[in-house]
Amino acid sequence: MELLRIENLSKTIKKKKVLKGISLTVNSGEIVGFLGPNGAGKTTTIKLIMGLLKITEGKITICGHDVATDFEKAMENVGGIVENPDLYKRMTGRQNLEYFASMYKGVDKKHIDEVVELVKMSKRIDDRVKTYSLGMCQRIGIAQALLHRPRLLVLDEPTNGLDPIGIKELRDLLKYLAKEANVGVFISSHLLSEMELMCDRIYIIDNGEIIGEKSMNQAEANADTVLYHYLFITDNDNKAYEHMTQMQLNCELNDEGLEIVAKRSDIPGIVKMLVDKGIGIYGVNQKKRSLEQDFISITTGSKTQIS
Amino acid sequence: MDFLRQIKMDIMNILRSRFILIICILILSASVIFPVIDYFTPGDNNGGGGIVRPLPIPIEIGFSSKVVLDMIGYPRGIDINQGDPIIVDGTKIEPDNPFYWQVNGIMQEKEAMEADKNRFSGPDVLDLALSIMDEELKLYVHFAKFITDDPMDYRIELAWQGVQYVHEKFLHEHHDVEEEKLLEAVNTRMGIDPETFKKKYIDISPEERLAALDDLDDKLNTIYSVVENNDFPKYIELRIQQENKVIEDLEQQIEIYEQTIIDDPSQEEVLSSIIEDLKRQIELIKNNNIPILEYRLEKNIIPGKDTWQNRALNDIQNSRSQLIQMKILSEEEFMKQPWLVEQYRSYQKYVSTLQAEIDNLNKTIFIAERSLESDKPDMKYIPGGARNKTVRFLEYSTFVALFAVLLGGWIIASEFQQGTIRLLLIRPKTRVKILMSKFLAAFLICLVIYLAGSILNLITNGICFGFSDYMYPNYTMSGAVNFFAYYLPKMIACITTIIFAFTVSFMLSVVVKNAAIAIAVPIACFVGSNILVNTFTYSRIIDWFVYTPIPYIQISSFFVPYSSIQQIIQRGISLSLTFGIIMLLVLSALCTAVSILVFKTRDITN
Repeated sequence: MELLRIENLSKTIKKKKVLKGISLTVNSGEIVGFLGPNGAGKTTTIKLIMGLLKITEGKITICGHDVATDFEKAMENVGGIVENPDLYKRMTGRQNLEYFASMYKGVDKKHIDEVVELVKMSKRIDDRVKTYSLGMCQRIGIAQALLHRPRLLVLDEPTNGLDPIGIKELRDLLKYLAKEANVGVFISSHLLSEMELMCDRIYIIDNGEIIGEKSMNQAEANADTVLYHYLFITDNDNKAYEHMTQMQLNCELNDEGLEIVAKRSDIPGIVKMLVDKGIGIYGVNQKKRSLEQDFISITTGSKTQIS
Repeated sequence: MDFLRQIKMDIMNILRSRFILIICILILSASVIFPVIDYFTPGDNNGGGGIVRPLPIPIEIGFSSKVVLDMIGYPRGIDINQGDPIIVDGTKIEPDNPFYWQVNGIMQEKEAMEADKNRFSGPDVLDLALSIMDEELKLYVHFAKFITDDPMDYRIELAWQGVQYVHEKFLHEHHDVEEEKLLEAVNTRMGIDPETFKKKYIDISPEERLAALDDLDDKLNTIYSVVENNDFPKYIELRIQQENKVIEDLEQQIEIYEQTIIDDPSQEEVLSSIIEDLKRQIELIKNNNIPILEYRLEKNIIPGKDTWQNRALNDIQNSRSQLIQMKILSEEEFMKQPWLVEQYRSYQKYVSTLQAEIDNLNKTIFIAERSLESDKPDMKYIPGGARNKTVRFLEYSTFVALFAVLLGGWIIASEFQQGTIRLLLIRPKTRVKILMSKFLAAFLICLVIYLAGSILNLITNGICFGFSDYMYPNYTMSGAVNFFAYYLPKMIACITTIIFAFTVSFMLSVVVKNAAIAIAVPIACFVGSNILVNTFTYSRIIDWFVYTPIPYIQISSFFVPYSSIQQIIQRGISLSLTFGIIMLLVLSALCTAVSILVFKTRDITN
């Protein structure tokens, strides 16, 4: 089911066209990434979705409700964080959540406790926000986004300030929400590896335009046709390199070691060949077919300065 | 219902700022602390703005001004406890005795005369002068025996009259002395022209002299008996006699002038205005002085005592005498007086100003009369009472208004400055609802502080200065009003100031998104407006300045004495409370509309 639909969205801020007619969709149960360099228009897009900015042109619908004309209905279905989760510092985490919860229908204290439990803040929830670290604020930020059991989550760089464990927890949480609660997640981030690990689909935005859309599941499905990078750790890299070049494999010696680009199914044969030639193999590491590379290759085409 | 819950949450949200909470408590406690400090401030417990002691009503002696000047020897403002007691003829006069300085002065003068004998044409003249002074001394010492400490005692003024009788008696008793010598001696103590002297004391038959002496003895005895027995009714009788004597004298004067006019019609213009003046004086005595004396007797209101009845009677007397002197000139006459034209600039202005003054005097008289009739004083006659303290505390509204500026300026700007606005506006509530909820929450806090503070102050004033004062009514031209019915509308009217201050700073808060600016600018404007009002009060600019909202910002100054508005009103410039309130409310509505409009359409870019 389609939760978020952006059609031909444009935004002009101070006579400058920040968004130039972007369109995208997010379906339920789907985690959609939103990638782009600084100033590409990620946060602007998210602010437009959340109603913080007024739409210049185009249309945003959330669960069928137009954000511009049916704001209250649209917002009932969406939770989110925009930029940093700036909470009321004078209040405790719980008071913050209670305050935001009061603006929805049917969010009781018990549910607030559950959400706090979910973001693992039970022990510190009654401390003042003043005393929280950025990561803890981020957790409360996620909690406030989940308060009213939204069907769509819109998160603006939610991993900011989280420690690696926190990031993993968030990833697991989002995956859980998508799979079990059928929540749609729209997430912007510049931590590309993160995106890779959790997103089903990614939009890449640059200079106010969507310049690419990639489905991660599709990539997995085509695994055997895709070339990956492998790093070989041997007792004699130079000799191994010679043998490989003789076999006309796409390989190179760099400062990391011996790296080749090959299909996954080629690897056992290569290992066997090297063993036969008397070369000791300590390990073979598959380097992720990096989104980063795709991302960089796409965005290096970006001609303009950060705007 | 939803909206009310949101307002409740917003109130809690605000009060969770310890800074705001502490200020709330401080402002609230001020309403209790002020009266308590007032109560414990020494020396001013029934003052509150300073009591104005009514001066004893001066007697028109009309005989010898020199005597009067000499007799007002009682030094005011000097510490009367200086000096040693004086013993005269076995009577000890303490320094705090009202006659101490009088007696002291005569004794010193006696010494000075003895030391400066050459001043007189002969030693017998000196003896005569000294014996007059001895007679005076006797009188004062007699008074001093009975009036020992109260400088405001009504009997004191009888002494000035008594001295006059003593002089007259002395003249009759010494008529056999050489005329020039007697005149010289007497002139050291009183001024008298030789002609009158001769006519009244020398060229009379022995029978007449005896009758005069009897009469003087009678008068002196009456005075002594009043002093000795504290005989108030007799005192009033004496005073009324005096007033009637004055009327007689004035009537004689008028007759003389009228005769002069018949003899010499060319003087008519000058004299007729003098006659008119004298007639006015007679009228004043008949309709004002005498009835008040009779009233004093009836209600046993002893003059000189610092009581509310005396204050009210003084009000009546002063206002009536002012009223009699006030006369609105015709336009023709007005134009003939350049200084009036200069002062008022137009005839209408002049008439309206004078009419306002007349109305005011009538109102003063009305309030005083009603207070005395019902024996329940209006607030103004009990300056240290709880009612006065409570009404003065209406200025608390200005104090709360400053807090409203703080809260209004802070509430929205802080959302922007903290960034919480981004978490706030993504809720399923329209921006207008969110803004109005914050608006009402913050305003309700101000309102509750104001109302609670006012009520707390009312109660504390009752405890400190007596609840009984609240039971007395106040008076308006339409009659007596229960104090609470009088106070409540004023208290509510003062809320306008709070609303205005709040909406202005709230608007700035929304528009500039910076709490410091949204708080500082209204406060600076407020201070500036005060300066403007004070500057313009006495300039011509005030004519149109009263149509701007600036003089009205502090509505409480309509009700508190000596405030800026009171000063403008005293200048005869009309300021309407209703106009002020409506203007402030319209502006407040405008500010609120701007706030909503800006907030509704604004892009949240930070």
